[in-house]
Amino acid sequence: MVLFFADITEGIAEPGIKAVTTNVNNDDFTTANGFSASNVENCLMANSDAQFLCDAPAGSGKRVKTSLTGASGFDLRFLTGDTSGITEYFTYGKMTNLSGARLMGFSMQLGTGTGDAFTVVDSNTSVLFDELTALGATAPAWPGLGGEVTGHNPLQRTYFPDGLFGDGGQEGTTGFFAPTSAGFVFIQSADGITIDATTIFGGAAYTDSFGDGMLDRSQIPDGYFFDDDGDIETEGVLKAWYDYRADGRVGAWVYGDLDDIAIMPGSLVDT
Amino acid sequence: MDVGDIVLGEFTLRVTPVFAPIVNAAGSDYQFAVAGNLDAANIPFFDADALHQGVVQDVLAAGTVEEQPAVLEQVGHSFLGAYGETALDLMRGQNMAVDQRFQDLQSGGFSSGDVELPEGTANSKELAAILSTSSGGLDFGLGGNTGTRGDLYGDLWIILRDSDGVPILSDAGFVQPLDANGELIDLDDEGHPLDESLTQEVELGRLNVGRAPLDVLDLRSEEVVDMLLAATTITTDAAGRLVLTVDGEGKTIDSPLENLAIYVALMTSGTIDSVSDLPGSDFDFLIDGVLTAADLEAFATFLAAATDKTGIFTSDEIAYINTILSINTVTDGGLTYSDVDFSTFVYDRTDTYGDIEVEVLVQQTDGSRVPTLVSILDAVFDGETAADAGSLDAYTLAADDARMVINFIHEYEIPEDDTN
Repeated sequence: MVLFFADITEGIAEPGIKAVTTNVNNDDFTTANGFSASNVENCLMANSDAQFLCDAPAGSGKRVKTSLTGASGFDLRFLTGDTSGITEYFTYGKMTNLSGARLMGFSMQLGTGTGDAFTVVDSNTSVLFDELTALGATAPAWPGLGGEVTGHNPLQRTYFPDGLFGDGGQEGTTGFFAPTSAGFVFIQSADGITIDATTIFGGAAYTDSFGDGMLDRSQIPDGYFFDDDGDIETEGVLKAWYDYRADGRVGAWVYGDLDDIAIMPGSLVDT
Repeated sequence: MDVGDIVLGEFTLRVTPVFAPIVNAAGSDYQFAVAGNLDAANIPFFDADALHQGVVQDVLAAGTVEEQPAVLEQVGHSFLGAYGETALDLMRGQNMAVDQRFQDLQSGGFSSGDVELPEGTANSKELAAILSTSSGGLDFGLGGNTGTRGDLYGDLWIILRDSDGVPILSDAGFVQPLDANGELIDLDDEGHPLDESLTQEVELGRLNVGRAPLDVLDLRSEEVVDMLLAATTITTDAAGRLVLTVDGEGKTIDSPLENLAIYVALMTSGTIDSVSDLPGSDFDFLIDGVLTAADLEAFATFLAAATDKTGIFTSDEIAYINTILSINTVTDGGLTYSDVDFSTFVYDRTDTYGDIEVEVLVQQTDGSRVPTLVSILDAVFDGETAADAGSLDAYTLAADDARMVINFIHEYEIPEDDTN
């Protein structure tokens, strides 16, 4: 089961998702630098106010927000019209794990029908995933990629929240746990019709503390947050988290990747 | 994503979550939750005990994917053990609500929109039927706090029984609850105690597992059979639990579910199916297909090993669990009960434990604990003798003594490392 969020306060209307087509038959469209989402023309995105389209600025709520609430996945059915060509769509998405169990990843398939009537497309069908593209020459310089020189387009991945792993994002200006990103890498099947996101990237900074899966909401650690802007409507800044291994396995509040002060002073905890 | 002209005019994007093997083993939402919690042991910052990983491996080691969900139901992290009591509480709550509704009807306390009491409706059970029909939501299959005949799974009260534990009914044909002094509690015309506060509830504790689906016990029975077939020697520990030597290694059958599976098999058919031969001849009574009074003492130990180590065994508890486990049950009218002939059963604590000694850790005056050989009769029973015969009470004495010995061994046994 899955929940789609139509958050009126963020200007997202039901059903929470919309298809935007501003340029038909733009097959093999790429952005200027080959990997960012800047100036994307067509996309599947959150059903935001009409003025927000695929090229809306960062932080404008383009991601389709879903929450996985059980063991089963979900089907998204789209109606199409003929254009006598191939139209390229970028997909903005976000998934929250409320299933009750660790998520070792997920897979995506294209097909027809829903539920038990779902039939996977074959490679001759008119709807397919793009082949995952290799890293461009400028991609390794992108902060979110952590300097990687091999692999595929950094947009063809799933990222855990920036600000926790990697700089920037809406959650903070520094990576609380690590300066580089973490998440799942997409791996495409040989026939191109299935994409699996079951391989963690981000290295030991993620796996040493959180293992090789995405945590359920009930499993995430407790944190100390600081309301840095005096606005309770915005997210506070994470200052410390509770690690059950700390202080000789007694458990303690610890800072993030600031190794020089590992354990939060008791006086600070008390206050 | 490339979208071209599609004949059907539509396409579907399917997103499928991928979970860890232990979570994939779940066959229901409930098992999924249990498995999800077990799998959390793989999250390093939780610093989970290695024992959790062991449980995960135990579940995954179950032979087939069909068996894994059943094992998942049985692990100590499962809610199954407490399910029986909770379901019972839920049923009681529903019945109490209906009783209250009935009283409201009688007192004219309903407002518009409530169910009208048809003329001639005499009691809460009739009302229950009406409500169940009108609302479609209530199920009264388990009786409840009205004193109905055959009220096995409703309130488990201490009731009047004969020497074999068979309920002795009131003149009006209802089971007869007893108060704390063993006196009869007055009943109304429906068989309900006039003062319910006088009743004494019977707690099944860990034996609530007897209410689990049969396949749970069946699975454990199969495991016991496998161990018995593989055993090269069989002995018993001080409490009478079976100790099997398999591949040169001794193993006490101490799992409550395995002991309950043995108990049910032996009490029901007098034998453990699929086992036709055992090492030596001392334990042939387990597979001879005959239930004798002499067998019962050994079987009482298996029941003791299946219950809580603390708390006191009661004859009502055994009577109820035997009924729930369908051990020699008889249905008479609306009443179902277990009828086991205890008339020839004899138990003497001294005969059973008088010569038994075990090496346990005994605390010294300086606080240290030293391995010491002690007499079970002295250490567990303070040297007190006891004997009884010919009744469920005698059988209960034997079972409770075995429980106390198991508890003693559990509390004071020497850790394996100390014996090296």
